Amino acid sequence: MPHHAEQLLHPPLGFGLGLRIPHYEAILESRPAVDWFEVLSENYMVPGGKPRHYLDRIRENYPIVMHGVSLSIGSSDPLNRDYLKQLKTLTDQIEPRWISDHLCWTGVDSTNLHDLMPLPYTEEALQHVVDRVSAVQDILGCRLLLENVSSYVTYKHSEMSEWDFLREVAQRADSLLLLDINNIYVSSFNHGFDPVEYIDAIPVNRVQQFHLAGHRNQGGCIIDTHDEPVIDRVWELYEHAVRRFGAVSTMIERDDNIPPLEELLAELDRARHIAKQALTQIADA
Amino acid sequence: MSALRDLQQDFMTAVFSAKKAALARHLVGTASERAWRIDIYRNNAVSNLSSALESAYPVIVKLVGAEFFRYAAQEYISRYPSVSGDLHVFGEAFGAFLAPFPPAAQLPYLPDVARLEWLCHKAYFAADHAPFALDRLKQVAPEHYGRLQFRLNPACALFESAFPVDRIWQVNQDHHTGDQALDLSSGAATVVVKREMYRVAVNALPRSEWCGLHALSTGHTFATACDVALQIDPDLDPGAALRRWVEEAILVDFSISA
Repeated sequence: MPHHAEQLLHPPLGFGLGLRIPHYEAILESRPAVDWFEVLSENYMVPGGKPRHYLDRIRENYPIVMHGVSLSIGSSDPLNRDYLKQLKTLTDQIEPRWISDHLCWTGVDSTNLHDLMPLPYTEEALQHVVDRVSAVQDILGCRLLLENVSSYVTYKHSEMSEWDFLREVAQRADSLLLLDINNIYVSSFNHGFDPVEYIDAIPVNRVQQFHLAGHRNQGGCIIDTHDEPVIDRVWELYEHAVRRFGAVSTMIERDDNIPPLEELLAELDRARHIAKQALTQIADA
Repeated sequence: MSALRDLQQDFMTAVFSAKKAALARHLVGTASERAWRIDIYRNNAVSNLSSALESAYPVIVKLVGAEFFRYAAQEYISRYPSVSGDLHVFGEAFGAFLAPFPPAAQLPYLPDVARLEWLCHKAYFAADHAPFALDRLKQVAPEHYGRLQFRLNPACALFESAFPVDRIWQVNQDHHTGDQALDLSSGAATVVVKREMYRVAVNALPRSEWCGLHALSTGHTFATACDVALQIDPDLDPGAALRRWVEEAILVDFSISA
């Protein structure tokens, strides 16, 4: 059954940041002009202590979305029911606006790499992932957002492009998408494709959230490290994405080499400014 | 076996055992290009798991230095794969791993320091529990005192070692400003790990008190705990000790056994 955009997507939240431990106190004290925070689900799947204490106080003042790294939706192992139970429990407690994880696999034979591994873009993998996304959405009772990951290898037996695979998963499993603009750029550099072609192939009515991040360019290859500011080329792609997808909830994702909150707020202001300009130009056109 | 499973198993082999040939046949690119691309994933996996160990074992890092720690971490990662998607539980066996680890044989206290750090790591994320008011104990009729059973705070743990692990732990904290002196021959330690305002602390307890608390924490009654403690120190005042344990929120609840 075809859906209309307004039926699929949650209302946009504006401009957010990933919630990181070094900023807990500053957020509570200064109440920064951030529209929402994204939390790493696994960091709060603990019985108690500091992270849960601060999250409970921060979510009194800010909308929260949950972002996971361990769902391993593409693994050929059975779905991890314990993990899903924990995720569901946390969801009931935190009441996030939505839940995301990555279109990847993170381990097999019950061993975890704790890294986001790329899938082969085959019909077999597609069907496997679609079945599992449907099962997870049934358990969680909501549409999952799937995020594109950065990758460093290309499989010989892939039968379609990454963007075709991403689009097919979302449409067949009726899920939503978290587009990481930096990851698109990193993979386009590493594999030599056109990032604009990628963005233009993604259905407008499925994109709920954007990630923006930095990376390390090691010459022949870009490593997705999330420990640097967003680069200009990624800002340009972001502007292109806003023109295509509209006012999508956008956040800066910094996982390492975490700067003072003010620096991330300045980066977030740049996102606000770029999005506003792009949307104004569309409106005027 | 499905093609997807086949590929994923080959990937795991390439990452954890450095045998790249099986994975390389699935990849595009020249031989050298495929090799360095696989190495990115090897480095990422080892670095993510090493970072998790480093953050759980900061004192061990200080004691052995970053380079030795990285070597030990790599050995540990290859022998103890991460079986949970939850990175918080990775590294539990590091103390047991260090005990027979030949390069660490010169530092016999290392395994116990690691075991203590793991208890601290767990205490950091443990469930919160409100302390209870001493007044509640006053409502218990004196004839029931012997049958009192107590609950240890979920964010507390008891640990004993033949080495002064409490001092080793304390002088290696980033915020430690006091006396740096450390006498490794000062003998055994009986310690309690506690979480105070979301910061984990390690405090020494007199052996008598520690044994009494240990008895309580393993389900014994207050009468038994008193016997154990008084055998070690006949001058101990069990009532005063109990008050301290409740006031410091080491014990957080009680019941009267049948």
